[in-house]
Formats: sequence, C-alpha cells, structure tokens
Amino acid sequence: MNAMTAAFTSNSKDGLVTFEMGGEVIAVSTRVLREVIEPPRITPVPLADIHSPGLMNNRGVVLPVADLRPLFGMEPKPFDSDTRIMVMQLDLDAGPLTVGVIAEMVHAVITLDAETVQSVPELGSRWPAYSVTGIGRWNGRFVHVVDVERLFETHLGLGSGHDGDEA
Amino acid sequence: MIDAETQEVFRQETEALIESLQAGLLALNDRPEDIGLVSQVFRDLHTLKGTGAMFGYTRLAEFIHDFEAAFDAVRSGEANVSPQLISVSLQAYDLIVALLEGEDPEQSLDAALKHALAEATGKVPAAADGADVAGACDPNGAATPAADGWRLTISLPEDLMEIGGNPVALLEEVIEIGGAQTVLRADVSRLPALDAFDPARLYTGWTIELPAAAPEADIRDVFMFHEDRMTLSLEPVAGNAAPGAAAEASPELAPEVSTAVVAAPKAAVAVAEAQTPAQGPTKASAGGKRAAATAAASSQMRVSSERLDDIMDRVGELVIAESRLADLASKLNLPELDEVVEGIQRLALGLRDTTMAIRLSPVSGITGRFRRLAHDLASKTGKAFDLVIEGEETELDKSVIDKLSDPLVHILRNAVDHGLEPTAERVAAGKPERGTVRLVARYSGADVLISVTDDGRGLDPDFIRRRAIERGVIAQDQVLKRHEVFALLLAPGFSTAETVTDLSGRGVGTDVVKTTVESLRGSIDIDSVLGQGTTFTLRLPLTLAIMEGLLFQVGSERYTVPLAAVEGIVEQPEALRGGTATSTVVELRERLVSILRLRQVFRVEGEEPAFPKVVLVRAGDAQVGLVVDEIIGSFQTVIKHLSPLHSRLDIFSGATILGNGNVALILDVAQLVRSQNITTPSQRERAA
Repeated sequence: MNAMTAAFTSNSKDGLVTFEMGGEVIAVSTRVLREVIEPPRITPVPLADIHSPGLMNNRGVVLPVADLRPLFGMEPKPFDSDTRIMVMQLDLDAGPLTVGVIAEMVHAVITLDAETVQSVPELGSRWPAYSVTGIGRWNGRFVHVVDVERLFETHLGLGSGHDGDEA
Repeated sequence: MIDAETQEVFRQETEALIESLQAGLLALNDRPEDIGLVSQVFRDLHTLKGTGAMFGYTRLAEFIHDFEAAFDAVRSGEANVSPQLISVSLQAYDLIVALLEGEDPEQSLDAALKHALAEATGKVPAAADGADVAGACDPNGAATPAADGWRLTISLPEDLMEIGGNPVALLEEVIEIGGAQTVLRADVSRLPALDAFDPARLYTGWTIELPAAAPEADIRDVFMFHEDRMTLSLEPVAGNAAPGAAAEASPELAPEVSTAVVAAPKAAVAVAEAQTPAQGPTKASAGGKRAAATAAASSQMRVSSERLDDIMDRVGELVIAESRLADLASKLNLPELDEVVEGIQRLALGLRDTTMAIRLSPVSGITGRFRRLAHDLASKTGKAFDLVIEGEETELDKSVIDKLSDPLVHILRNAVDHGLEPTAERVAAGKPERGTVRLVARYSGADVLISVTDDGRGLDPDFIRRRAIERGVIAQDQVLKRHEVFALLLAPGFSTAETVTDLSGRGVGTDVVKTTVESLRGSIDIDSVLGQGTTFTLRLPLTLAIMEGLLFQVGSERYTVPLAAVEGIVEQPEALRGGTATSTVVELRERLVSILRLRQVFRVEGEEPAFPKVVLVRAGDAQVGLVVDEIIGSFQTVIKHLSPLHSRLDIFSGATILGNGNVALILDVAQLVRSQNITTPSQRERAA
C-alpha cells in the first residue's frame, strides 16, 4: 500500500480511499466505505436511469449498483480484471442508502497533506458542481476528493425535497 | 378456584357477547320496534353482568346492572327505543369494552352514563333502587361486614323447577359458604290452598342466617342467574340485636350466635384472607381479556408483530437458502442428496404457508368500527343511509389490515359527507330516500380489492379539472384520462369540498390515504358517474413478504410475476410473429387480448427466440398477454424492496434472489399496463 503520512484536514477526519474512473483518480472518505468486492453478476434494470443501471446480491441483500461515470462525463469501460464494486453506506437526506459503486480500479487507503489540497477552480471543471471538495496530489497524480453523499443528493435525486434528476 | 380452561371460556364468551351486543344495538337503531332485538340486547347484558361478576369485574357488573335495567324497561313496554337511548347505549358499550380490556376510565363516567340511560328510558335516576343495586355488587360490601352475621331472605321464582333449577342445590351452596353455623328456616307463607297447589311449583321461601365470615359477593353469586326474577335481601345482623329475636324463634340459635360474637375477630381475619387469593384470578382474567381484544377472533395467542416479522424474514431467508441448495443439488446429481433437498423443500414451504397463515387475518377484524362509524356519521350529518358490508371473511396480511383502518375510515367519511346528498336532494333526484354505502372486500388474483361505493351525487370531472388547474396541481392544457382526473382528488392539498365540515374535507387526509396505501404496495382507483355515485377501490397485495411467483426469461434476464395473477400460458400465436410494436391486440381463445412484448418494453436487443410464450395475467379488470422468451416455472419469491435509486420505476414492485444467487425483478402488472398506455378492452367498454 502506498500510504502517505501527512494529515488531511478537509471535511474528512478519516482516511481516503482512492480509486480510478475514466483515467482520473478519485478519493472518497473511508467512513462511507463498507467493503470492496469483485464484481458479482449485475442484473440490469430495464428503463432505469443510466446512473443506476442494475442490482446485485450482496450477502442475501439486494443492492442497487451505481455508475458515476456518466455524471463525470466519462465513457463507460467494460468490466475487466481490475474492476471492483465499492459497497458504500451513505447517510443521505432522503434516508440511509447502501449502494455498490462501480470503480475501474481501487488503489489504496491514503491520507492527504492538507497543504497540497487546493480548492476546485469554478470554471472549466468537468466535475459536477458541489461534488468535489478539493484536489490534491498523490503519487504524482491529481486526486479529486469527492463528497459522495452530496453527489447522490444533488445529482441522483436523493436529497430532501429535491426531486430533480435526469432532465 | 378458576382454572385456565374456565378463564378461556370466559374470554371467548365475553368476546362473542360484546360483538353480539354492539351488533344488537346497531340493529335496534334500524328496527327500534323489534322486540326480539331488545330481548337479545337484554340477554347479552344480563349474561355479561353475570359472567363479569363471577370473574371479579365488580365495577363492570354494577354498571351493566343499570344498563340492563334500561333495557328491561323497554322489554316490559315502560320505555321505547329512541335514538337517544341507542346513542347513550353505544357510549355505555364503549365503557364496558374499556373495562373488559382492563382500562380504568373516570369513575364519574359510570354515574353520568347511568343517569343518561335512566333519562333515555324516561326514568328519574332511581336513587333508592339504584343504591340497592349498587350494593348488590359492591366489592366493599364484602370487605367490611361490620355486623356479626348475615340474614338472607330469599324467595325464588315459582317456576324455578320447571326451568330446571334445583332449590336444594342452591341452598347447599349457601350452606357451603356459611359453614356449620348456617341456620335455615323455611317460609311457607306463600303456600296456596290445597286445591290451588301445583306440586311442580316452588312456594317456599327461606330465611338463612350466616356467619359474618361469609363474603357477601359469594352469597349473592349463588343466586346470580335468578336474581332478576326473585326477591333477595341480605342484611347484616348486629350481634346484640339478633339474639333476642332469634332466641324466640329457635332456642338452639342463641348459643351459636354468641359463639359467633366471640369468634368475630377471627372471622374478620378470615374475610381478609379470603380476599387475597381472589385477586389472583381477577388480574389474570383481566390480562386474558386484553389479549382477546387485540387478537383476531380466531387467534388465541398474542404475539407482537415484530416477532412475526422476524419469523417471516427468517422464513424468507430459509426459502432462498433452500432454493440455492436445490440448485446445487441438481448439478451434483446425487439421489441421496436430492431426497434430503426434497424433504427440506417440503418443510420450508410448509413453514412458509404456516407463517403466512399466522399473518393473515380476516377483514371482519376492522369492520365493527365501520358499522359504528356509520352510526355516528348518520347522527352527525343527519343523512339516512345503510352501510352494507360484504366479503368480511376476506383475509389479508395483519399488518396491512391494521394500517387500512384509518384510510378506510377517511374514505367512508368522505362518502357520507360529500358523496351522499341530503334527503331532500335525493328525493328530488328520484333516488331512494336512504342512501347506501357498500364496503366490499374480495380477492382478485394476488391482490385483495376493497371498495367503498356510495350512491350519492358522484364526481364531476370538469369541476375537478377546473379546480386542479386553479390550484396549480395540473397545467391548463394537460390532457388527462378519466381515471387520471379522478386521481387528482388524492393529490396533496386538493379538496373539492365546497364547505369544510368537522367530519372531513379539509383537504388533508386524502393524500395521506394515498401515501398509506402506497406504502403497503397498494394502489387506489377512483371511478364515478355523475349523479349516480362514486367508488374508491383499494388494491392491496395479499402479503408484503413472500409470494408464489411465475419465473420467466426475457433476453438474458429472469423476471417474476405473482402466480395468482397468472391466468394462463399459451404459445405465441402466429399472428404476433415478427411484430415489433410494444403493444398490440390479438385474438386469443375467441377473445381480444391486449399484448405487451416484454422484449420491446425492456428494450432487449437481439434475435427473438423461436418459440416465445404468452403469459396471460390479470391487470385490474382486464387480461393482458405478456410475450416472454421462455417460461422457467413457479418460484417462491421473497420480496425485497427496491432502493430509492429504482423505486421510481413503478413497473417493478421489488426484486428477489434466485436459487443461483442472481437477482430477478418482480413485475407489477397493473403498473406496467398503465405505463404502456394500454387501453384494455374492458376499460374501453366502460368509457363508452
């Protein structure tokens, strides 16, 4: 594991787990991560939203599978030997949600040096608004720190009183 | 003293009596002249009083005594059944139920209701009579016999022996209570002349002296079943006053009385002791009654619903594990293993059925309160109507029934309050003076339908539309189907009530009805003909947890529909071959059937299989054919709810886990049909 020692003092007191999608490195708080699993068979849900294409059986519980790539404007990539499902337990305005998020590759649990974390430029960002809390550096690459709960609330229609979504 | 079996009998008996009493009172409201009903109410009250007193419900017995007196007056023609009497009686009934359930309502309520009952029967609250009666069941009477003994003077009904009574047995019971110190004297003053003497009749009265230790309630209980047809007086006898009189009558009595005087302190202790064990059964029977009140009529044990849910969850997991095991076994091909798997399968299915049966409970469990509500509504609104209830034996998951009560109360209120016209308006419209509200429960495939129909003014779709546009619920140019217009009534904040009454129509509630029903995976449909009436139909699944499904394949995936909704499976007719339209109509078995091609609905790519099948399913009033690739078979479907990420797709009511561990979606046929905008043949007929 490529652990770093510096403390990261953003909104996350815990460590971060880094994973890869569409060639970018993304980090989410380890607080929301329950486990990382090899992709099980995913049952497609016809007519479902592109961000939530299917269902999976996780230890006898049916969980939705979320694909965040379309949100970030990334091209989907077929599952390969690096693909993992990150089972996340999210505490959302609309209630708790356990969901499997598709990751093209999961790297490591890290901590980021606060000084290396910068705020996100408003313009020219490919990232959906309000979801990236900062950009840091790790192993010579940019790491986008994503507030995944905020992302589900504002972009997947799971906030309170917010019924907006895939317009 | 009172064994468990006796208590069980008491519990069942009072339960039936209470039901019969309420039914009798409500029926009397419609047929006040029916003397048979009056007698029935009187009998129910009388038996309740007797049983209640026997099991230590003294407050209950005392109260019922006055209640009963009111109906005795009616029975003897001294008073008439008036709406006022029924209304007070129903309140009195509520008090009885509360007491039986072990609640402790305000003591003043008893007196107030007694007063109201006396007023309703045209009697001044009879002070002397009432006080005497109150004493009859006063538990304190037994606790504080300030005297040294009791003098019981009885004169039993003359026809006691004709009706099968045995005076000797009664006297023996009294002697048993009083013990060796009991003194009996016959009173033969009623004996007629010899030519008028009928050997089958009882003319003899008795005066009985009992020691103070004999509990008053016990003495009275001996005569409980003859109480209203005999004279009985039970007076405490002061030790100093009695000897003289007694000595005169019987010289042998004097020493005994003096013994009693000496023994007095000891007797007081005996009374206190006798009281203590009596509390045990009283409490126990109170608990028993509470249980009876909450459990369904057919159920004998009270189990918390969480525990039932727990069992159901585990049974669900067991069924899934069993199907995985069966799947593995079929690959291994070991005859010994197959045998074990079959055994487990049988057990799992049996367990599932039993668990489901525990959870099912008939609709009749909540209809009592609707009858009562109808009565209260009639008096509040002044509208005369009959509530007709059909299909009370229809069974539903208990948790569903419990949650249905409030929505149905709301719909019933609306039907009476807004649906039914005032009498004058009905007569002017050529309708019968009395309105009718029907509550009907019936099975329909895997669902239960509960409908509430009134024969009132009906709904005006144009008015609803205008109102919805006014309130911004829909856009000016929005095109809506008939049922969609009526469904607007259930939209939050929508109310068509011209005037707000205290009963309903504040615009809150109706959307709560919708939310509640939807939380039970059900739906509501409204249909109405202007001037003729309105029907609200609630469609609810039989159970929330598990169902027998039909598993089929479409493309690479498997789906399931409730097997109870499946009415047939046929080969795809030649006429449908090669078609690509999502929906179409085809003639099947000499009937036109709407067809949905699931490959098209689900946007499945690739070649159509060689021999697709058509699954005929019931969707509301119509039959719809679903074209699928292949039938897999029936499957125990443990229903798992969809997360908010998918629950907006209402064509799926949930998902389930298959034997191989894969997930399959459960189709909601009614929603699927609705989403595809199919006009089914029968709906077309209705719209025409």
